[in-house]
Amino acid sequence: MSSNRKIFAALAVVILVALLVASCGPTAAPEPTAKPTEMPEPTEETVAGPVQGGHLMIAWETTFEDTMDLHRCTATASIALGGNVLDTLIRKHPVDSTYHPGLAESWEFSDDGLTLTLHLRENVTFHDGTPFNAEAVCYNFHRIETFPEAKGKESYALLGVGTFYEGCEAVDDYTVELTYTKLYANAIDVLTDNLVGGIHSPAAMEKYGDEYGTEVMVGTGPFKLVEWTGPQAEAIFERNEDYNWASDFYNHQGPAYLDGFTFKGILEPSTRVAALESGGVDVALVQPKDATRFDEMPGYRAWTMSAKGCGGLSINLVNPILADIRVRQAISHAVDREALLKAPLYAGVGEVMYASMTEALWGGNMEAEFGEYNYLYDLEKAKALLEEAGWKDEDGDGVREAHGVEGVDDGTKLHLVDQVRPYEQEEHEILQGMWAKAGIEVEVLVTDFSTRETLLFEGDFDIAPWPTGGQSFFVIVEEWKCDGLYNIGKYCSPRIDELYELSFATTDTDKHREYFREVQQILLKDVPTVPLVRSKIVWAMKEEVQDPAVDHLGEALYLYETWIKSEP
Amino acid sequence: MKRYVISRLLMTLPTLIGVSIVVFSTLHLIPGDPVQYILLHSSHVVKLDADAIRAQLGLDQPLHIQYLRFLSRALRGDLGEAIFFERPVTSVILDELPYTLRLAGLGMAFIIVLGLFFGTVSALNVNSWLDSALMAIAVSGLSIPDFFLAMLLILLFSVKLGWFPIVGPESLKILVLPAFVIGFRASALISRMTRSGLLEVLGEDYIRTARAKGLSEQVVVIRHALKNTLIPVVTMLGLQFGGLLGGAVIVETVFARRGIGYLAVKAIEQRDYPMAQGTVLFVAVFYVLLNVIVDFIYAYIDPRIRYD
Repeated sequence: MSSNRKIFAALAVVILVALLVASCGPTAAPEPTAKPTEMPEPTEETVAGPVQGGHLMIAWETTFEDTMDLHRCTATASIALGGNVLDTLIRKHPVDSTYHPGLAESWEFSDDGLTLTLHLRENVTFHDGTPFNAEAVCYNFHRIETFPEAKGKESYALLGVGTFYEGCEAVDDYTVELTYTKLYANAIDVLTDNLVGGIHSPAAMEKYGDEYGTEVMVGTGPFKLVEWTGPQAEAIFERNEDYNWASDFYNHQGPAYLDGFTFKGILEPSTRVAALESGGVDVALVQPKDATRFDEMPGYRAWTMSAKGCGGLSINLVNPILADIRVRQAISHAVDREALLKAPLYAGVGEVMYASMTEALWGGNMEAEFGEYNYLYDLEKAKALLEEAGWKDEDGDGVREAHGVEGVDDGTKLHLVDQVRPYEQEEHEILQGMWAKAGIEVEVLVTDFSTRETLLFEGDFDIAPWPTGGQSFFVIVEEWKCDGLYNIGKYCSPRIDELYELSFATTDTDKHREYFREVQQILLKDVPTVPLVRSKIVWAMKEEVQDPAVDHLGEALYLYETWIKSEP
Repeated sequence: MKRYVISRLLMTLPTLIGVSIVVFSTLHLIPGDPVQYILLHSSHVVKLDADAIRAQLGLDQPLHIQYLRFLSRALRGDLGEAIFFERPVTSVILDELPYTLRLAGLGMAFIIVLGLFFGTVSALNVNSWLDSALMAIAVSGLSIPDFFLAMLLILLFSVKLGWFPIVGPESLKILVLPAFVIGFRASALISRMTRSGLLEVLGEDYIRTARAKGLSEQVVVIRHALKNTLIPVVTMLGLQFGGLLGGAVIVETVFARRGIGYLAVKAIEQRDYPMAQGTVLFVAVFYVLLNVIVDFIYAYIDPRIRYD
């Protein structure tokens, strides 16, 4: 009998511990400063225009696994969210990529292009009350240059430490001179970037030392970071009441409208949708296929923004089959991009692309300039090109085989391996069907992110989804230069390398556009890539959320002009 | 007893070393490394110095050196510095642990309450429609994937009925759905165990004696039958608690919860070796220690099990 009592005692302890553990109150989960869905009191003005008030709860796919010290971090989340906390020295227009005053009101290069003088805005203060001035700017740049944790990171590379950057000098309180050892064509563009151009409070960085970024982030932006709590957690922001230095392309000056907002990372897309529908969040990043549904759902709407880059394929030119331009042209002609866009994956949200650089990447779609290099859907042309290249289906099994193709044994099947990530599988199975119609057998291999990247860098693929993403034309450098870091298909055009050299030798943005237009035309002619669809980022939100905007990276919401409309 | 405890604890060492070798080699055998993740996952494309980053992370050393370093540090309680969090692995784990423990704690409560209750009801109504229905639920509980159950519950209880929120500050209400999902499978197992155990015990002579003494059925079942059924169930409960930590991997991802399950997923995805090794090793140590504790409890409540 006594052993039975012990069993019950043991069981009781287990239950008690389980219940105690379960009911322990939260220790780290913060309460938002305002109720997540709190709406402003209705007033006369609310119907007419923006009003202050309200706290938005926003769900997106990225979690915050890194520090928010942008000088040392690598995470997209921190960089993108940082845009609400930091102002950059120069602003880039989110749509046309033109440069506008930010914390620097104006700037000019010296005649030799080796000195960039920035004239800073006066009467700007950091969130901690300390003044923004030339010394603060140089402090930031000096930290990137010397902080051991920043070495080798993006901020370090972008500023040009060890390559272009020489130093920063505060000429007077509001004038900064940046000097370079050689001409740095990217000098202006990096100052629009949160990583380099975003200026942090020197006092805060001094105070927190190595801990800066894990607890606090202090800038001059329209919102202050209140709290940020680890992975799968939240970042909470509140309005900076002193803010009065927005760039000239915004519709208003002065503080932001929202009292604040909370970013909540939710990886699972269906959970984000459920969170929005159940009212737990006000705005959620959703998949394109959900756009129509939210547009039709009472009380909600979908808001889309084109991605900066274009989804496409990289082709491995090392493979002798693909070294023949006619095969690459056939691969591109066999793709019915309009049909692809209509597939459930995109649900018609986005635009078909025939050239890989979007207008945001300086090239534009350039339909007028396609000339003979248009890759409109033309199955017959695809088949004819393959026949001409020696790929014929003589055994009638639907897959072509080689007949006198250079470097390929006769009878070899036209079989290609497409290395994709799990979320790309659906799209590539559609493409697989399209290519099959032209007699090209494509095997879609699905692997996880890291595995796939290794295979691609080792050249273990024939074709692979490879977007031309990013926010500046320097992205393209590493993709298409002969020795480019991201040139996985080993395509090489001496003229493209030459155009890059020319681009780096000038800071004139008109020249950059001209050179990159030519790069675009060479890419169209040589087909080392097959552009597919420029997707759209879809945010679904409650109807009352007004004027959302995306930062210049096209990734995170920039909420300076966003406001909440109350019920009429 | 002391000798039993010491020898039992020493026996866990080979298990843990085995776990550490498996975790370490699996992570390093699969393609990809954190440097490539840094290169590709950064929002900008600039030429970062991959070799410098690799050297900074100690990934340029031969694998056996990396393993021995990891092992010698782990023995001193130092799991290294997480690459992406830029903090000691132990401190990241300890930050996230309370969230998982709360989830597992309530999950455990579900297992005990649902498992024992439904198992007993089933046994007392053996071969009735109620028994069949409950066991059908138990079988479905054992076979339904966690993520599918999670989505069904979210759609019904959060979206349609609005009873339980998905996001918001940590509270009992927000814990209910994930805890139910995490505990459902084990509660099905426990209910089946309770049912079969109880059926066996109810046929024993001493139960017949108890009934012959004129005791009410309630007293017979609760005080005599159930108590004896619980010995194997208690063992299983201990092990299930360890299993809950593993289940947290899926549940925390679907419900967007903080915790070590989600931490493990992110760490493996990013090939954050110290973080992934540390998290898995931590869960393994937890599980092994729980096993040892269950053994001790078992030996304590059932003296037939000899310490030597």
